[in-house]
Amino acid sequence: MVSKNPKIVAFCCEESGMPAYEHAVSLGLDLPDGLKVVALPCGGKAETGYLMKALDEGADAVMVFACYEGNCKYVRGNIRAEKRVNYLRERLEKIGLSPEKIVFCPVAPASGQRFAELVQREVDTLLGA
Amino acid sequence: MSGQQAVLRIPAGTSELKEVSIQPSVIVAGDHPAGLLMAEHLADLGVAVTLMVPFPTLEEVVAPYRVIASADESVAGLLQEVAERVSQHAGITRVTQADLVDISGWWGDFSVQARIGEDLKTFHTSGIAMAYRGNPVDLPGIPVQEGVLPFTDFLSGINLQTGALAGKAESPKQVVFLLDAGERDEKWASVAAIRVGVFLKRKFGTQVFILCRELKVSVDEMEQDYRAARESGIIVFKYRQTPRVEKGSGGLRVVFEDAAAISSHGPSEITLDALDVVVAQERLGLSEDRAEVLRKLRIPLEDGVAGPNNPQFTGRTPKKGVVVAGDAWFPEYPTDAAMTALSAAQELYKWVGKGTYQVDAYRVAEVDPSKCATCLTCFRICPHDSIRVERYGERNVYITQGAKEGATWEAARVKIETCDGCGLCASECPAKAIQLIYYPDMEVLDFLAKNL
Ligand code: SF4
Ligand code: SF4
Repeated sequence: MVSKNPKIVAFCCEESGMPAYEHAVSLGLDLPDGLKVVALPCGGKAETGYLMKALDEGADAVMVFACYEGNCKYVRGNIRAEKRVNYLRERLEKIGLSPEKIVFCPVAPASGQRFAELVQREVDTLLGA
Repeated sequence: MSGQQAVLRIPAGTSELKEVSIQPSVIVAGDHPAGLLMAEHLADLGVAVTLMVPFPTLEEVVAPYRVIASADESVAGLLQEVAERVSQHAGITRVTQADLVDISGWWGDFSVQARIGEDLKTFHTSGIAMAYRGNPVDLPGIPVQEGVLPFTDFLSGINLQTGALAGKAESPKQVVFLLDAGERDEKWASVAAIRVGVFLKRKFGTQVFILCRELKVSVDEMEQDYRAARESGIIVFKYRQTPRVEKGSGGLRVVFEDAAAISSHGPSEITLDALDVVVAQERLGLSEDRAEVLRKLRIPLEDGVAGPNNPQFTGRTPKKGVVVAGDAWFPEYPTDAAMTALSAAQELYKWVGKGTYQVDAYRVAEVDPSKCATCLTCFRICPHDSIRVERYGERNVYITQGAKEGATWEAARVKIETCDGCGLCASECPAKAIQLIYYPDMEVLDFLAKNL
């Protein structure tokens, strides 16, 4: 059961997701208290173990915020992260869980607005489900 | 509420600085004039330059650009004497008829194999610049037939005195430049077509038609070029779909729908007939063996060129100490290619010019050799080509199949001088043998356990 205040872990690439989070904070945008933010040097460092551990520890959802395609400082770390997320979504579905528990979100560094919207959308998805 | 969330930041940590000394030496290789410009620039800055060109003389590097130089003063100024200057430069060692066939090693310690005539020779250097011309890969949408020439073949085949093409006695009477049929947004051919077109018309009276998808006015001074073209009687059309090129009466025929026409003014299909030559803008890409050298260094190519994958840094590649210029970077008009070459040379100078460098031995990944299964996953993944499998001591427990005698204990090793600390290797290692020293997995896992 998802509580009114879902726990969401946001794994944030230091180059895009993290600045986008900071930007959202600096704009004073609404972010849920249940949000936990983990900075990573690259979206591609969001390894399977981290994502599964987060769910295992009781997170309702995991979000990976990385750079848009073509913008990765490490060439294809973002694509690697996206593939990993898609693979895990398939696995979740196979075992009867909602694939929406793991989502991949490309963001630009100065898109605090989009960051907040994506988190809110995830909360809505979880509560609506 | 904003800003109330639990956040785990990447630890700032102490740096473990390690000094490395780098010889100020580079190898510049290739058949594009960008190579000559880079060699000269680096040599002027005091770097020991070895220049490798695949021809007997340096003039041949510049020769295919002579037609553009005749049509454009700024290109002439750029290329005029560069071959002479570079042939006499005291800071440049020239190796002719040399082709670079393999590169191994790292920033500061590259080993380069070159084929010189029949022989293979090994060179050592701190940095590498590659400046290659593109080969015509295909003519997008245009069937190969007699009279249709890739643009670069046209430029290198034309005789500057007579205007005749290779194997012909006279200059062509009517020429069509067919541009933009490919997907990639390149401007070089538009600029070259219009400037060379004006030159052909004025010098040899050639009737020139330019067919393009859109007019490239984003290039400096192009308005003047269009005016010059109009005044000399060059006709520019914009087409909708890629024109049809077929056999016509007394030459080739090109048929297309005129994008500027409005249907109520009559048919919008235009036919150009009795054409001697159709010059088609080809897709330029690296030859397969050169592409292979880049790929081995994990320099990503898209559509045969390196630029689109590295949009932030001109000429720079993920392989530290290697830069790319010329069409190998992106097909550009010679003056733009020169700018790219100079930025690439500057970038390389940053990596070889200082002599000593501080590398951070803390913000990197490290392999625990006792856990490594030598599966080569990390080696394949590292975007900076910064991991090799090496022999260790007794600590390693795995034995690679087919290992040579005496090479029993092998494991992956991170080259800290070129590791950027991205953690991609660590995230994929199936044996969990790699950790980022500055940000080990435990920190993330502990944070999750405490905060969920
Ligand atoms: S991925 Fe891990 S196990 Fe495989 S070679 Fe690299 S360090 Fe060794
Ligand atoms: S941390 Fe990144 S740069 Fe360093 S060895 Fe691993 S994959 Fe390569």
